[in-house]
Parts: sequence; C-alpha cells; structure tokens
Amino acid sequence: MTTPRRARGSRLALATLGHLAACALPPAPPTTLQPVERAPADVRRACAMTERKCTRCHTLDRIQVAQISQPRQWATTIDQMRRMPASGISAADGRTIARCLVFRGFGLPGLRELERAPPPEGLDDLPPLAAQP
Amino acid sequence: MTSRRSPRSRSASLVIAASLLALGAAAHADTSADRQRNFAGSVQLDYMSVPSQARARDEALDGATVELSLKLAMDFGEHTSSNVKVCVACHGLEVGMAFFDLRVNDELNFRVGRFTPAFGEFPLRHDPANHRTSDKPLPYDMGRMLHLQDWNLGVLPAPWVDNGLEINGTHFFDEIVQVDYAAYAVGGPRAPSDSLDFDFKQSRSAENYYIDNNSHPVLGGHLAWSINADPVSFQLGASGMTGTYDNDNKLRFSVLGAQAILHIDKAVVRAEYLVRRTEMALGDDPAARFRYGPGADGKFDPYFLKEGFYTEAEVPIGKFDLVARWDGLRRRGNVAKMSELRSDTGLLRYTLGGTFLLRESLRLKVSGEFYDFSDFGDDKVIHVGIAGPF
Ligand code: HEC
Repeated sequence: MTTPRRARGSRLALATLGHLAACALPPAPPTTLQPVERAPADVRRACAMTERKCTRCHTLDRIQVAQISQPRQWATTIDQMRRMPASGISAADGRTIARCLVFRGFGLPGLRELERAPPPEGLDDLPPLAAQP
Repeated sequence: MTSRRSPRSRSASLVIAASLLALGAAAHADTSADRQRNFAGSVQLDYMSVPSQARARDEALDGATVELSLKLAMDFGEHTSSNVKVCVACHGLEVGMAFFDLRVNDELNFRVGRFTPAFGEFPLRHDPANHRTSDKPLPYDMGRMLHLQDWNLGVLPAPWVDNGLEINGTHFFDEIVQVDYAAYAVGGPRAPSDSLDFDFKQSRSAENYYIDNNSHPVLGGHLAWSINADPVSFQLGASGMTGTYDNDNKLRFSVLGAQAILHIDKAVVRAEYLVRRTEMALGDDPAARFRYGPGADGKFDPYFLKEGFYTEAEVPIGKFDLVARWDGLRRRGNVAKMSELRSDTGLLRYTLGGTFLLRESLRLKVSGEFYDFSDFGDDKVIHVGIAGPF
C-alpha cells in the first residue's frame, strides 16, 4: 500500500525540483546590491550597510522587487522598516541606506532630488553630495 | 464577577479615547503632498509530503498549499500611515492587516485596527517570503505540524491577527542601543463556554463574526532591547498577553515569551521560548470529561501548561540560504477523555533546509524534518516549495 504512494510522492517532489532547477538557469539573479556601477565610494559603503541591515527580517529580494517610483518613496519605506521592533536601523543608518537605494534606482539625479526636496523625516539633514567623503 | 471586568473595559475605552485625540492632533500636520502609496505582495506554493504514510491527512494538512498576500501601504505623511493586507491561504480570504498608524514621533505610535500585536520575533517574519523554511517554528505553528489536532497547534499560532489598539515605539540611544516597546488591547483568542483550550477556528470564522467573543479585551505587551555594533548585533526581548478566552469570560490564560537573536554580518542565530498557562472548564463531572483523575488532594487541576521553543541558524552563501532549526513543544496537564496525549507529553523536531534563488525574487525552498514524539511514532516530513515577494 504505502510503497506506490511513497514513490508517487517522491516522484512528484523530484519532478518539481527538476522543473524548478530548469527555471534556475540564467538570467542569474543578483544576490547582492554590489557592485553599483559608477557609484561613489560612500554609496558603495551605504550598499554594504543596506545588505546587512535590510536582511534581518527578509531577503534582499524584497528590495529588488519593490515598486518604488520616486526617490522619496525609498525614504518612506526605509522609515517604515526602521521603526519596526529591533530593526537595528537608526535614523542615521536610514539616511545612509537611502543613499544606496536611491542611487541604485534613480542615480545621481535621484540623490539630488532627495536633497532638494527633503521628505518630512529621516532625510532632512542629508548633507549635500559634495560633502560626502 | 463584574468587578473583574469593568476596570479592563474602562481602561481600554480611556486609552482609545486618549489615543484618538493625540492622533487627531498629530495627523493634522500631514498634507496631501506627503501622500505615497506602495503595493507589495508575496506568494508561496508548498508541497508537504509525509513519505511514511499512505494517507497522512488524518494527522497533518499535507499536500500542496498556497499562501498569497497582497499589501497596500499608504503613507499620509510623517504622522499617519495605513496598511491593508489580504491573504489567501488554508482559511480562504483573510484580512491580515487593516490598520492606521497614528504617530506622534518614533517613540509614540498608536496603531488602531486589525493587526498582529507585537509578540516575540517570528511573527514579524511570518510572511512566507520573509522566512526561509516552508513552515513555521512549532511554538508558532498554524497548521503544518504533524498531529496538529492532538496538539491543537502551537502555543500562539502566527500570524495572530486581531482587532484592537496597540501603542508602540522605538528609541535609539547613541545609535547603538535600541529599545522597543508595545502595549495593546485586542479581542483575544476565542472558544465556546465550557472549553478546554482555544478554538482557533473561531478566530477565523465569519459565522461567529469578527468580534470579541466575550466583550472583554485581552491585554499584552512586548519589550525588546538590542545592541547594534555593526556587523554584529544582539537582541533580547520579552512578551506577554493575558485575559480570558471563552464566551462567558471565565476561563483565563496567560502567554509569556522570550527571545534572543544574534546577527553576525548576514548570518543569524535565533532562539525563542513561549509558555502558555490555560484554564480549562472542569464542568459538572470532571471525571467524565478528563482522561486523567484528580491530584493527590482529590481535586482536578483546571490548568494546563504548554511550552514551545525554537532555535535556528541561517547562513546565506551566494544564492543559497542554509537553515538548521531545532524546535519543540511540551504540554503538561489533564487532557480531554478521548485525547491520546499523556499528561506530560513532548515533541522535538529537527529541520535542515535551505532556499535557492531561482530568478528575480523567486526562491526554491526545500527542507527535511524529523519529528520525535513522546506519544506517537516518530516521523519524517519533506517540504518542497517556491516562494517570493513581488
Ligand atoms: C525588523 C524587521 C525588518 C527589517 C530590519 C527590514 N524589514 Fe522590510 N519588511 C519587514 C516586514 C515585516 C515586511 C512586511 C512583510 C509583510 O507584509 O508581512 C517588510 C516589507 C518590506 C518591503 C515590501 C513593502 C512593504 O511595505 O511590505 C520592502 C520594499 C522592504 N521591506 C524593504 C526593506 C528595506 C529597504 C530595509 C532596510 C532599510 C528593510 N526592509 C528592513 C521587516 C523588516
């Protein structure tokens, strides 16, 4: 009785695995936010911090697929995450992380936009780009 | 009787009134220019196989399950935001979140609506796209464990979604130490009068309406302390919830929890412990409804104690995330006449698994579990699934 059922269950699991493995062929998905092409050094450092701090409760996938249409939206999302219990993300960390995510999504113009029209919280004391190390 | 009830209800009403006032004032500062909308979701398809059994349905909800969540977050500005999340899983369509956050500042936020009250660490990661195994740790199990009916699930199934009010906040000291707190009043678990344990189906059944079954909120809180010395961080936390769960507002329960989490770069080790003390209705004839007789004093003990723990380590290696988990449950106390459980029964489970990033955000999740029951035969379970946020 049990053998055929067991075999069927294992075959199904194997078939599923095989199919999924086939899907796993290229394109190779990024498992890191680095390297950011032509990114200033501070953005690279910010991205290293983002990888550590934003993967405590979920994978980076959440960030890769986030539907963010303007730089300020990153600041808002980071603030939401920052306020979660034991996020380990201080307001200053949030500002650093925003530099990484905004640069990745919107490049230097995005960072400038963020500085020009600071969102209500978190990023209001972001130093101008030139002052970044 | 009434003297026990009134203060709880009265303080809950007072807190709600005060919070709404504070919120009204804070939200006033937000303007329509601050509004932002964010849509996110996740899906997991999991196949659970119990290879030793021809038909495992009597002791497990095996086979394929899909968990889908769709979430809309609306930010109205610095002081107000709202989140609505619907989920489709074994229970059908559920509203997992429908709340407003009315924030005075980081240290003082009023959450009003339907949400998961702060308890422990795992509930924050309950979304299948957030945790690496296909199923939940035993103390938080909500239906994928073996012998789920004999055990009546874990200690506090996650996500525990409830209606009410939570006051929470977070504060950083010197950018290094973070302290979080939460205090809440929610409807609480439910069960008919004369029960022996929570009836989790009642919390998810429209038949009984989505209301507090006994007109009295349960109260709870959470406190966490963490130290962040990047790339290492360490967190300690404690949680509690107490109240009554039966329709007649007579049967009491208390749940306590403790958590310790260590992050080293991207690797993490977590441990949580939960314990619930639950009062059972003895009825007119306890000898007829309980399996075991009275204690040495000739009296039936109306309480049982359910404990649960898990400890797990996660290590990401490239596209792989490896997980090793050890979790367990223990129940001490009398059981229903027909139950197969002993008055002191235990379960240990050992899990090895991992996820593999297939493409975009889609992950393959595979895990093998070994169940070591004190009252049933040991068994193995295999999970194969795909999950991902979008
Ligand atoms: C303390 C835990 C925690 C940390 C740390 C964290 N997140 Fe999240 N994140 C969550 C939870 C919980 C969800 C919501 C999942 C759900 O719907 O249940 C989420 C969801 C998201 C989403 C999807 C949108 C949404 O609102 O659901 C994005 C994007 C995201 N996180 C980005 C980030 C970024 C960027 C960081 C780092 C700044 C970060 N997260 C750090 C817990 C965390």
